[in-house]
Amino acid sequence: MGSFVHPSIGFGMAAALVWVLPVRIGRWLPIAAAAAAIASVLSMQPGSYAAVSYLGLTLGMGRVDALAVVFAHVFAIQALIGFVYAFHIEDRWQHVAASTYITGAFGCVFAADFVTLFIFWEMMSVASTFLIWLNRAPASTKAGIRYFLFHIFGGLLLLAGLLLRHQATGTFAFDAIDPGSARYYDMLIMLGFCVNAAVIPLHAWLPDAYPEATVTGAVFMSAFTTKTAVYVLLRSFSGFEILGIMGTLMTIYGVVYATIENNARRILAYHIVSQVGYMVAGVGVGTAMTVNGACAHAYAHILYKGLLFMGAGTLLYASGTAKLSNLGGLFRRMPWAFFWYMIAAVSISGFPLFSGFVSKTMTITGAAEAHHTWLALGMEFAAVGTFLSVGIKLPYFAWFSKPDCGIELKPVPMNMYVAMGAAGILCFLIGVYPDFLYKLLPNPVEYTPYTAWHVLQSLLLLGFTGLGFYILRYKLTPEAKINLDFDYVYRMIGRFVMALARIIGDRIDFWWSEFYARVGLRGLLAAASGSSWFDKKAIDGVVDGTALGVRAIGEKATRVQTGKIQDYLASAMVLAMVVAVGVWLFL
Amino acid sequence: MSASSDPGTPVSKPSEDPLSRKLRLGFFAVLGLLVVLNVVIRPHHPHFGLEAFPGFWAVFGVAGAIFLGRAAKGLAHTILGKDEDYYDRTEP
Repeated sequence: MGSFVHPSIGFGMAAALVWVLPVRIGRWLPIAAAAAAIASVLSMQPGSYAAVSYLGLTLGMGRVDALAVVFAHVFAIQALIGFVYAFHIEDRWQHVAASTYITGAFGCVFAADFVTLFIFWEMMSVASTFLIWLNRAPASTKAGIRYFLFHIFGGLLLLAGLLLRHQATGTFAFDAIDPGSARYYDMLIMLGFCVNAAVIPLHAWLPDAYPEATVTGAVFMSAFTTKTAVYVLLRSFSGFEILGIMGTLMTIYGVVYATIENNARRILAYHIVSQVGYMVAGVGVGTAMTVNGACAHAYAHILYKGLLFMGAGTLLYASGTAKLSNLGGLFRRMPWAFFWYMIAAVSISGFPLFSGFVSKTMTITGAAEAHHTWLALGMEFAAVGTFLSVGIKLPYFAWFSKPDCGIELKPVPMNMYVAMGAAGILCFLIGVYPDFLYKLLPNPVEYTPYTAWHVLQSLLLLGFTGLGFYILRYKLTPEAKINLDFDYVYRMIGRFVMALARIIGDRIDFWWSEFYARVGLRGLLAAASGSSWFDKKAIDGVVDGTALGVRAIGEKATRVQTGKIQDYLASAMVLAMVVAVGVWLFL
Repeated sequence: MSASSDPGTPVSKPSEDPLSRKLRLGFFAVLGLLVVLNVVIRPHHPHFGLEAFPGFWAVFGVAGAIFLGRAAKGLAHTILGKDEDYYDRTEP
């Protein structure tokens, strides 16, 4: 057996140390952990490592094979880019949350059984919630709670599925499931995965929450949650036809919303739904070529989507708003942000010479060759929408369109540009040297992206999409509106539950008053005369004291509400993690 | 895509600067060239009948973009679009 150092160890240690060290030193640690993760991924050999006995089960935390390595490879690179982008942040909790989140992501990638997967899966959910809350705005707090509840729901589906599956089959093994013999518990697991993969109609948490996350938190989240879900779908649910259809619908659904959205980061969030759709469709078609396509697209996507979020995040950081209706004409003042953003935009659109071209076309061609012509056409249509909304509309209305929006800009720290430059160069390198990516893929690659026809077809498609935008350019002006989506449904469910709780509460209150009036009152009157002396002399003193105490707590709580609560919860989370790891190791 | 015009003003601004005009004409020329190339370069194995016709993907691109733009904006203007404080306002 070769060597294997689990990358989660480094990130877990970084999370714990950033918590205690001064942040000026501590913020180097996640960068060091990411560099160590890259070294670890490059040196690891296929095999099974790190089996742990726990409560009579053998848990595998180190399954290394080609599929795991593709994702670990890009996770490590994106972690490094992300932490460089976040280097200027003085708020230690953001580094703690991001490191914990990435610990979970690597844990999922190398998990060999469903129990291990579930533990790291939940770690990701909790840590990513903090990346939203740490934005410390009322809208973020609310969106974070919705996000967290929805992921708890997804986690419960996964948990129910894996337990029922164990009941029926006697194993927690996390392997491929045959589409022909899948049972209801397999479907529960798939639904749990689909929540995190943002498969419609379970996707609404994503465009709801990502635009409210911190500038840097959104960069991390865009890379890890949905792509971990794509990885687990690839692992277990390759060839499930329903995923091919849902994935293609996702590609179109995402671009429709992206076309009408106003908030730049929400446009990009809808594009995650759309882009992950290509991967889910690749999983669903399930041929060697589309599985390769899904992996390649996940790899390319993590880099360019991170860069898009970095570009939009830079706009938000500098100007204080991500709303296109308030931006415009910033080209002269933010040319580099525009330049790197456009590298990512042409990559996601699939322009020849950039990374999306060598990965997206692979999935589409794979679907077409597997005689799923309608799926392939749907994905081509989504490619039109991708270029229309993220390649032309967003940059046009943010950097051009108006003379200048006149917003005063905060200076952007150099590390943000360094991270964007690194991501941009990688997008270009993968585009001109696709073998770098193709060599990592789990199946042998029988696809040549640079044929005259593929290049011409892409240029025709994208060039004439540009013409379409030119014709429609006034119609597509962003409006200061929001658009209803499926989050409407769960917001209403939340309100319904609250209303129900209030009704039940009122009933209990009423019943208690009746009880009190009939039974309690007579006895109480008798006791009252005896206790009145005690009441006057003794209780009043205590009550006054308590009142003061309550007021003090109230003041504390007010401060907690303004953002400190996240700190306490973050501490609690890290503590819980330390306990969990302790229990894990010693039981 | 030419960045010449200001959205909100009517089409065809009277004073278009020469650079924008050149960019726009250049863009159209490139599109024309691509279609001409498509007459020569065809897919070896078209995945469906229409793909063999020159200009199919050009029509697909422009029609797709216009359809998507109009349909999405139509949805936004009828059922999907709400004021920005929609969820705050209706909260109990």
